[in-house]
Amino acid sequence: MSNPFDDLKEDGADTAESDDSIDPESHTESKRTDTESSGTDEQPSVAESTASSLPDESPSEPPVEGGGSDATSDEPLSPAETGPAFEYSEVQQKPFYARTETVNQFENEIRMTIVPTLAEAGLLDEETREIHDAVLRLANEQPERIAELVLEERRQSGSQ
Amino acid sequence: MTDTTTESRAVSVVILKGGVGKSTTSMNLARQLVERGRTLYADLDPNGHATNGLGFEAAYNGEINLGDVILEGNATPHDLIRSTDYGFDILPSSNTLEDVEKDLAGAMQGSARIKSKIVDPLLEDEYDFIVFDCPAYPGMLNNNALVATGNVVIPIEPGSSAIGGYKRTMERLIEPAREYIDVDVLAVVPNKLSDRIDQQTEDRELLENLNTATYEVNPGQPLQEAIPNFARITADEFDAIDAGEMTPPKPGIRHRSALSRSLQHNRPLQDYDPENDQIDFYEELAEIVAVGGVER
Repeated sequence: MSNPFDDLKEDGADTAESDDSIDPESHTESKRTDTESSGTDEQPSVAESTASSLPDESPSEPPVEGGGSDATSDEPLSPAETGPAFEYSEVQQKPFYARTETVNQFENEIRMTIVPTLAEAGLLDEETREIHDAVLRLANEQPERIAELVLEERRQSGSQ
Repeated sequence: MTDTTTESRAVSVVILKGGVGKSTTSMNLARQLVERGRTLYADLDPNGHATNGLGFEAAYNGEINLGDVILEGNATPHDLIRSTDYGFDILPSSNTLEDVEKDLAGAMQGSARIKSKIVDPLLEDEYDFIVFDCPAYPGMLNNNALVATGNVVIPIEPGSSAIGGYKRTMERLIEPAREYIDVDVLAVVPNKLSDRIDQQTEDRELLENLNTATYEVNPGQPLQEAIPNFARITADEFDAIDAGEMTPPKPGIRHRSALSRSLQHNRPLQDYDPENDQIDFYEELAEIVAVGGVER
């Protein structure tokens, strides 16, 4: 998982631990090994061509670049290359009872935010099951927030 | 770690869990800081409880939002900031703050926008203290508050879920941020205490855990050193309490009906119930922020 503060990387001043990914040489080198070892996905080669243009430029690169490269320099495979984290056979279908507007909004979020964010990290083969599973994991992390949302909605409908 | 001089300082009141008392803590902290200098209370929580509670519904639903100041647009912080009846100014939340959060995610240096557009221009020049009331979930608004302030106050309440919230806050927010910036946890503040501590209650468990914790909350500083004096009970004191040699103290910050009522009446505790016994604790919290850490 990349550091949520990686957009600060280009700042360069206080980034002791991220030096390796800013350093053009080690950066491109690790990228290259990654692509050689897997070499099937087209996305890493796109990332590499961007990365190899780095040495000629100042380290002020778009934040997207930092986020993706951090993960690849630590791990043998980046999230973009591993394929889905679990198989379809592992999932279980459960109905959700949500209002149409909520479902529509969620589908918009998938299109407008989630998929583009994944794409920025080089991940282009996301599966619906991965997103749905993440939704429930998010809910598991913040069950109290769920209760709050239910209460808020009741208060709002009560005050109308 | 601990400065002995008062200087201007911005602080984030943050924990990745809802309902722990972030708004109560941050608003009353801001109110007590007014006694020490010019104070801005910045409500970054999209739910806007504090903004609406303090009577700024119009601003919450207004045309201009934080995004116009820190992203596109040519608004200045002054287009948003309002003065309250309680001595501090407010940077109101807005009903579009969640959109700002999304836009920040795609912005260059998105985590540093509030620092560069709000805190750097205002701190020292116009305000001595800026207190951020942060969202209960991780995201760009929390990241911005952390980068802009570099100082954190973490409220916590009895019960395992709040302790989980504390751990999440450290692991997902503060420790990742420390790869790029210095983050100083000024204080971890127990809230909503109500039980006795001479028995095995959740209050006792929380206070004993916090006060004996040896793991670091700041580099080189164990967690117990960040517990304010009003909640400080040493291991020896717990032993004395259990042996019946010491009257159990009433550590803060305690549940008081005046505290919840004061919020319903849209006022800081100081102005709602000036005689309340918990005000001294918020005063100590203001001292901690003013000097940059807990002093024993």
